[in-house]
Amino acid sequence: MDYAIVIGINDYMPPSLGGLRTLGGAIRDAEAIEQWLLSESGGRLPKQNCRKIISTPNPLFPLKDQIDDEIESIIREIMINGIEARRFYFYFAGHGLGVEQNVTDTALCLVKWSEIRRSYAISVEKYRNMLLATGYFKQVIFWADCCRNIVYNVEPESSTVSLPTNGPHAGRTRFLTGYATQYQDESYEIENDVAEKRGVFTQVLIKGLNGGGANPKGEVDADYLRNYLLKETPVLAEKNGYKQVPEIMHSFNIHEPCIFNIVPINIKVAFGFSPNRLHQVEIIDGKGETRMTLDPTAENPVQILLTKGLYKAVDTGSGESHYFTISSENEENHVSF
Amino acid sequence: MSASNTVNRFTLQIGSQKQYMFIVKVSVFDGGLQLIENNIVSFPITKELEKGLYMIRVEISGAVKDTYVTVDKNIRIEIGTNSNHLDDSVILIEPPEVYSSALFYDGYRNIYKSSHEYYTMPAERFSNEVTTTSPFVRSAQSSLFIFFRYSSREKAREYDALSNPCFFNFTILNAKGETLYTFHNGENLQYDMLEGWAAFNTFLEKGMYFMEFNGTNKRMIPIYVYENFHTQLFMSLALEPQYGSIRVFINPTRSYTPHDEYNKVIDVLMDKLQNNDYLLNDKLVTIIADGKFDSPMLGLLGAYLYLKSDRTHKDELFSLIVSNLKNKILLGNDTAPDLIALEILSNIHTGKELLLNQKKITGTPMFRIGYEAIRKASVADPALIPSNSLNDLITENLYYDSPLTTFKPFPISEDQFTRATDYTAISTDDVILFDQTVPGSNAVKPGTGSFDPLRKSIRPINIKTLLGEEVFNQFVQLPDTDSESVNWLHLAMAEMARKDEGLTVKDLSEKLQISGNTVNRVLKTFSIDVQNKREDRQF
Repeated sequence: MDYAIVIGINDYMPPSLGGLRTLGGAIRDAEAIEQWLLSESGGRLPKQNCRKIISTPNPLFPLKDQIDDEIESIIREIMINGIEARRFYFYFAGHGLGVEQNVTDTALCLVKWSEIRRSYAISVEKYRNMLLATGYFKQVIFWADCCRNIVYNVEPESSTVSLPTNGPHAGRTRFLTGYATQYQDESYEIENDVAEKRGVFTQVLIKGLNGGGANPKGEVDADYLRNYLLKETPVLAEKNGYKQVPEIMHSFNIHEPCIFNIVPINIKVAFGFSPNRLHQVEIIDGKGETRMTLDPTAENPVQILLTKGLYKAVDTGSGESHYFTISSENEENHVSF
Repeated sequence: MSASNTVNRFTLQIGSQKQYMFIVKVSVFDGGLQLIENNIVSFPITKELEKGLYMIRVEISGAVKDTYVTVDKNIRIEIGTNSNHLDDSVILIEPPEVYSSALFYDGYRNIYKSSHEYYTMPAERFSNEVTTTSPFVRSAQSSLFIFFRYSSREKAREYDALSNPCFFNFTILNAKGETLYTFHNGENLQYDMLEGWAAFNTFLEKGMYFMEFNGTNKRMIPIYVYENFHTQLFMSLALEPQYGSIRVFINPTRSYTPHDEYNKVIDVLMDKLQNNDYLLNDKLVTIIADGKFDSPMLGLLGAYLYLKSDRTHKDELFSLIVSNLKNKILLGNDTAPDLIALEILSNIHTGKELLLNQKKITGTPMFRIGYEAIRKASVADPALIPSNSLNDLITENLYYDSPLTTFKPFPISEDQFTRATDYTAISTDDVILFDQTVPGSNAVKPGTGSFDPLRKSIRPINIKTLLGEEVFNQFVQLPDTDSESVNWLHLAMAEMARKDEGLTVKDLSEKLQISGNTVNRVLKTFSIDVQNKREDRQF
């Protein structure tokens, strides 16, 4: 059984009072993550296990207590009902800050954060360590789509949740922490395909969870997802004129892997040929081996199945070639040559 | 290794043309799109790889470019833009396009796409021409050149530069806080609102100056003009000034040249500074060591980055660079705050002790890394930041979005500079609270600032005792947090003191990593305010 707390904060104390500017996409990002968590092709969480907390401008909501209340409620449910919980997801989209002298922590700013309430933020490390210490989860996953610029003297707070005794997995819980950007850097919101503001990192994260981060067995695991995020986030950011490189750390290993999703290994590809392509086309796979040979004169486009990876199409007549990548985040890939 | 394995393994050699060697990072992904080599920064490099398809990612300052290659024989890749000397077997990978507020040109295919000709030409021209209408010091051997630009002429129009250009909202102040030049309605500038650029250039005596932005979200930027050198500052604009984009050069000649290879390296170093990336590869260290005489900024930034890192293998070289900057390269500028900050950072890096009152800092370092070094050192040696000195007042006003020491403006006065050099002035103000709290050997003798062994016996006094119970109780009460006038530093101190009434000034200084004199000033200001209110009520 998996659980999640998904937080999206667009609304903050206004900058005129030393607060932070209103964001455009944090709530949408949180809703997209919630959708993935609840979907059958995604996280498969029961609806009641996914607690979404989104901000409102008047009154300013949520306060720190509301987040701690949800954590308490989840742990209480597990304790009382003797539930064997597997994974705890904690997702945050909003303003964030780097923590001086601590390159691995991030302060997640809550609605009342301002110049003079600098500690009105929750600490990723303190919350993560609290969840690890409870011992009620085998895996704890933190995603934070927020900036990590430094503001002086920010001391993000711990959770008020603290248990008298530990659960069954205490000391053995594995974790993954994913930050949208490097220490001291910014993360960005950009317009997506339907002109909605959305965080670059969350957009890539969802594609990765949907298959972009799958290993050759079709499992979206911690390592492959990390590599996918490292590869794709800078590219999407740069397309929009920004620089953004995520930072992902985890304690999983091959004996205790973290599988977020399983997607089909074979991916449908619609392979189209240009009209002047008359000779046979070889498809070379990532190992440099010829995977198949296609005849442009027979069927155009031709439907083929390929696994995720890098390929090269070679015109056996002209010698002309074309590299293409196949990603398992889409149900069908389209290639033209 | 079996024969078949040998046959299927090949070498991939990656090299870089000289101008990119120090600024590119390369990562290699395999045919399954998995990262197999991350952030290669030393070239040439040779890797043995299995036969297959690979993706080579070239990165410069966050801009990325991906290229695919087939490894079915030994492969040589060169990163660069000039294919003239390459034989057909070498694959040339052009670096990604790079954005910088400074204007650059490289000979073959300019990767600095933001260096539009319509900005490069006026920048070159007005780096040599005085733009001010107000008087300037003709005899000065130093000058200040500032070039503002939007990312492109199209962006300038998008940001309405025609009716409301950002650059009109700046003024230049001297160290006394007096306005020297205002840019209001284009005064003292040469500009083109259609293209979206403005240039300021004048001769100035050496010393500290400030550029103040008076538009929305006001900001102060310190600028140091070095004797016999020309300070050249480039800044990008959008709806507001882009403080993270500022690039500063210190050139021995007045002309700005976009071809200058050292300036391109400085651009990368400032990007590293902004990203806390302190790693300098050996070739970059060589360039810094070789280029510091022609480009002092190269030595300054290189030393800042190295000394902030944990590395120690080049300690001797960088100690020499710091010494040469002060005694040879920037001779006559030994009071420049950045040079003093470098010495402090060098002492911290090498574990040397800082002696009380040894350093007198007039003004503030241009670079935030220097300001932070002074602030950190002031925890052990509070005299580095006297109360009400410039560096003291910057503490709660510092912004963190620029490699420069930019801060929320407050009135600048000559007194803020005097305080840094006159220890008699420091002691009369500061000993009232602070020296009573300093235990043991760091005690300062009133009126001299020198070590006073008699004070070893003084017990630290907590701030509750110092302020008195009534004032202390008011101090720790939370004021109206919706008020902009509330000092966050006061709130942080109040929060800590509320939790622990036994805290001394030194405790607060250590917890907040700020000078004890800053703690003093906040306490004393509050104490005086309470006193004044009490007297007002009596009338």
